Amino acid sequence: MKLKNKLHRMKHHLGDNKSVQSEMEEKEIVSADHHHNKDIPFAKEWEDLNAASRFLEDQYMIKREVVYPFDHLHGKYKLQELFNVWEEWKNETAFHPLHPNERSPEDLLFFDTETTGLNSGTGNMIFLLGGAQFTEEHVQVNQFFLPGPEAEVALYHHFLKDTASTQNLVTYNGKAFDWPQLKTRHTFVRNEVPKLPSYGHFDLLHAARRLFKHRLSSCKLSVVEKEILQFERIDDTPGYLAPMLYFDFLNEKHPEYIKGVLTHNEWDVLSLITLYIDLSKRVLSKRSCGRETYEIGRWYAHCKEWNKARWCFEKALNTTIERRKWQEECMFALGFVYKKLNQEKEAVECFLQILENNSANSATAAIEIAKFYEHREKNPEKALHFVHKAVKMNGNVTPELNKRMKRLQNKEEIRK
Amino acid sequence: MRKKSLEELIDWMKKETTLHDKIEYWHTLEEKEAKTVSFPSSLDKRIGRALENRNITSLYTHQHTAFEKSGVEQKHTVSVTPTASGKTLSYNLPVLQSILNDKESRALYLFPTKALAQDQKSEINEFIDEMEVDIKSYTYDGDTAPNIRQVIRKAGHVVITNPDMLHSAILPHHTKWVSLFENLKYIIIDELHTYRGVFGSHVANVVRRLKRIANFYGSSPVFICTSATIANPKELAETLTGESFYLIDNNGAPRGKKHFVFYNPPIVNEAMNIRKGATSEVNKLASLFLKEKIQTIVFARSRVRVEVILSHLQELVKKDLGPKSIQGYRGGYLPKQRRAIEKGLRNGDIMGVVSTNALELGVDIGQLQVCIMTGYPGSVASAWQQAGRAGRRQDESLILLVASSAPVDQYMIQQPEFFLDQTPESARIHPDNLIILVDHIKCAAFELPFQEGETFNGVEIEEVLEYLTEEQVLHHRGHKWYWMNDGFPAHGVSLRSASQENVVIIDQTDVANVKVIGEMDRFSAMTLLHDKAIYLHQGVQYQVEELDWEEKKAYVKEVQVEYFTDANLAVELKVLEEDKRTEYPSFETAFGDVMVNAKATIFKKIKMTTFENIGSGSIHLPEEELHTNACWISFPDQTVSKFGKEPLEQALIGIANVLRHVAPIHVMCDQSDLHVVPQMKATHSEKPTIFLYDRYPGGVGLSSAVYNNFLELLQNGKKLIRSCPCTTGCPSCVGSDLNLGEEAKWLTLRLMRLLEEEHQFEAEK
Repeated sequence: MKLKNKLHRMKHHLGDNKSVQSEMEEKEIVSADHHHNKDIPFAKEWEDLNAASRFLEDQYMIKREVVYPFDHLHGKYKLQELFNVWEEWKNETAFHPLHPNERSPEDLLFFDTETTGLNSGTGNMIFLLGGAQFTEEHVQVNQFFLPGPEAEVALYHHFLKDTASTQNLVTYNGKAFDWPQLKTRHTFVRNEVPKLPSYGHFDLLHAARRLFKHRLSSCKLSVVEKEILQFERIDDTPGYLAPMLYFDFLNEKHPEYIKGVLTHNEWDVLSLITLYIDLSKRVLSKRSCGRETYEIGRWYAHCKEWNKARWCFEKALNTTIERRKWQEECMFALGFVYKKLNQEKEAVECFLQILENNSANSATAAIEIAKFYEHREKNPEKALHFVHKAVKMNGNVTPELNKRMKRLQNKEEIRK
Repeated sequence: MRKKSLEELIDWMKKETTLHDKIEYWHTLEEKEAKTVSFPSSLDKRIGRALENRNITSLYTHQHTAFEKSGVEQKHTVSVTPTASGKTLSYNLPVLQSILNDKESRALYLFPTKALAQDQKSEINEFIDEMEVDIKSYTYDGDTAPNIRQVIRKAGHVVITNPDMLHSAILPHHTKWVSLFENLKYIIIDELHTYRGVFGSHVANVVRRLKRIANFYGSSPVFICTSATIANPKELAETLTGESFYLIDNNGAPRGKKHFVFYNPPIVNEAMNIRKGATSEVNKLASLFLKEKIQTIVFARSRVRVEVILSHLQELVKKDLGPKSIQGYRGGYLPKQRRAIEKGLRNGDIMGVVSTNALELGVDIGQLQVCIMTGYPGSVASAWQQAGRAGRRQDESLILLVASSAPVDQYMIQQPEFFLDQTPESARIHPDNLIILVDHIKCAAFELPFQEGETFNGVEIEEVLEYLTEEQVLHHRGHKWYWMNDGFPAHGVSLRSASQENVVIIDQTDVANVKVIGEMDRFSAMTLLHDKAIYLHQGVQYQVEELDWEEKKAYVKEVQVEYFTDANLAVELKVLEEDKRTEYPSFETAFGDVMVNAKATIFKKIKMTTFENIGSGSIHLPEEELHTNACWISFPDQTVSKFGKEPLEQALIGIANVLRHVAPIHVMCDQSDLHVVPQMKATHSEKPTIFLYDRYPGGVGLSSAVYNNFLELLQNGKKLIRSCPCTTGCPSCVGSDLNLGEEAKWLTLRLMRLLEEEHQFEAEK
């Protein structure tokens, strides 16, 4: 048996003259469990895909391993640029959701799944778990494939055993989809496989939405790849075909049916690496400008990193001359950031400009100015002047405005 | 002027001579003392204390039995109790006791509607607060906020929901409910009697799935069901859940004095036996009570009738009470609207409500004093449910049944003993209807793969699984069948109606403020929401401007017209397969599969005040196809020649009309669930035939029940015709079809006698 298996592996080296892809180093294939060297259907074809069976008792799953050198170019970035951004993050003291903090690059698992349906729900199976991870020598892509619905115990057993950490997942919409679905499937086999570890998450979909929503038609990964990462997929199998192809595979058992999906998933996890690089660079570098800087500033403001936000907003305004709606929003947001930083005078200047523009935010700006004159300058008369402006902008007197007006009138009376 | 009390009005009604010939029968149910037992010794002290805080120092006999059987002995129980008998304690006591004993215990409560679930949550939470313990109970429905859903899944001791939510949100995501399913001790099914027909058949399959998932997580919960009075509560509970049940029917709750008055509107045309319309009599009677500020509920059989009565009453009492104090209540109103009405009734802001059977259910609307039924509600059980709405709390109450000229009504009103003595009907379900079964097997396979040799709660399903494998929905691998499809099966299956998509009703009166005001099932929409139909909603008339059949949207605009619309449905019937047949010398009955093609053809405009036809129009909608079960009776050639072709045709229409009214009473369904079609030349045999078919695809056991009880049905039909005072046939018996002649009544009776004699003769053999 052992020999037969060996021969199977050898056959590849003996007869096949297929040239090895230039950038891809072939690594020795993981051997099947010695206790169960069962012959699996199309073992040779799997081998050609760098994949082999892994047994658990009489069930098997298929593990595929591909290795990329650090200087592999995926779109406009080399994978090793992750190390550069890592260094840059180290110099960044402000809090940011993408900040790796104490982690090292090897801790991250760039992760994506392929499923039998797009809905959530118990009947939707994960048939492929793909992850890319940095090692000391290279980038390793591991794919855990479910050869049939009966093999989930083997699939999750080997996935959990071989995956050191799920503490630092990097995904695209994994918070809402991949991870909950993994939890669902794990529940079915939870008595037979290791416990599901706790997990931490960088969900790059949220990050991409913040930075690119204003200029991309959609934030689908394929669009981001094309427009931002400059990675062009050639002969890609679109994700929506994955369930159908998997059903065909189940009937025919030939890996040819699923090959395209494996490649698709492999590209997905590689793109996650370069997307993390790209997003980090944008957030960290001082080179962005205009609208994008404004969006980065909003992100910092959301994290209550006021100094960072101020820097971004100021720069965003300085680097453009056009007059667009976002600039008005940026000015408005900057006003509030100044207020947080107790730069009251600068804040009022922002709000005064908004007021002049006569826009949707003008009424709120007027109230902010009124607050300043009432509480800081102790000038109820001037404050009241701005409250009246707010009323005019608003078109009516809200109960809140009314209250403020009454109070200011009283203060004014007392002064007189 | 001092307002009269209900007692004074009752006395007045008894004495008033102008009412004497209208009141056919006055039945008084005397008050009943409570039967109680002291708290069981095993009852947790905290529960006992909370009960005492509510001035409850003993249990009614039925509550006590429920605690012993479901709690101590862990038996599945079904309690039969009238309204307001404290049935909630029948399940709350054992459930709370189990959670107090083991705080990991969980219970699942199922109510047929969201509204009932909400009521129940407030009730159980008040009780828990009084016990001062940490037990969490939540409702889980479409309105539950996403952020608390997770808390409910993990930590809810009592989860209160409805079958639809269980079907489409809980079971397909059972892995998120591990702590519920692992510790599930009790499943409560309240309002058991509502789970009949198509809906019940669906729910029975949802329960099969529920048990399957509970077993997967290692629990085998105890069922506690409660039901209004029906003939077969034990059988229904057993069919619905596949378990054997202990029946609790020793009701110990007290009851106030009830007056049950059978009221028949006066005859306006002696020869034709035409009576004054029930609707106008109901309007008069209801305003009598409403003007004295006596809270009154009026039941009407159809949505349209509700709206007609509502607008009349609002007009009549406008000066005394203001129109807002009378409200309508029926399906098609939005939930928020309904909650407001329920609250208004409880706190007395609303004096009167006009409702369809939607308010038969246990929705808490507090105490009403008078209940008026516009026509017989169609079943004995339903009538008692509606009657229970008056005098829920031990006071004297009045129930008025105002007969319409429908045959059943006239039959009931002239033989009140039929109603008062009759055992209520049986509720039937048919969980193995193939269409329903297959839908739920798909859902079940999605939830958990089927093992070889596994049954669906006792039903052999291997062939179904093989079929679904061929259809590429399932994948057979090893010893299991796995779901292998990218769909989400529960989304394609609706428990409530035959059609999966409802028609949404959109009001575009105000172009700037277009809004959705309700929805309706597809089959009803064909005749109620076609182009130019007048649709009534909360007493307001709308005209349908466009029915977009593809998109399932009806665009309506408010109008004020003096007519309503009534649409015709043309039906074609083909027999596909005959399963059973009984032959008699001059006729035969059979049961089998049929194909029905229905098409809305024309509509008539009918003037509201005089009911005259003032115009018509055609309807252009695609044909709907229905594959279902039917039972039929047909007559061979020799009978035709013996009886005469003309007379037979008359008798056929006559019998069909009578069966249309009598059959639904016997098989306990709505008239619209069982259609009756007479044909002089049936497509399959060319013989004169009467078909009775189930309105739901695949059939739900109605026509099969008719086939099995044909004799009884005939006897009741005959009684009905005999008791009708008309001479030559009228709408109340054999019908008013234009083709009917002078002899119709006599001919119908003659044919029925023939059928009955031979049927009996056959039975004796």
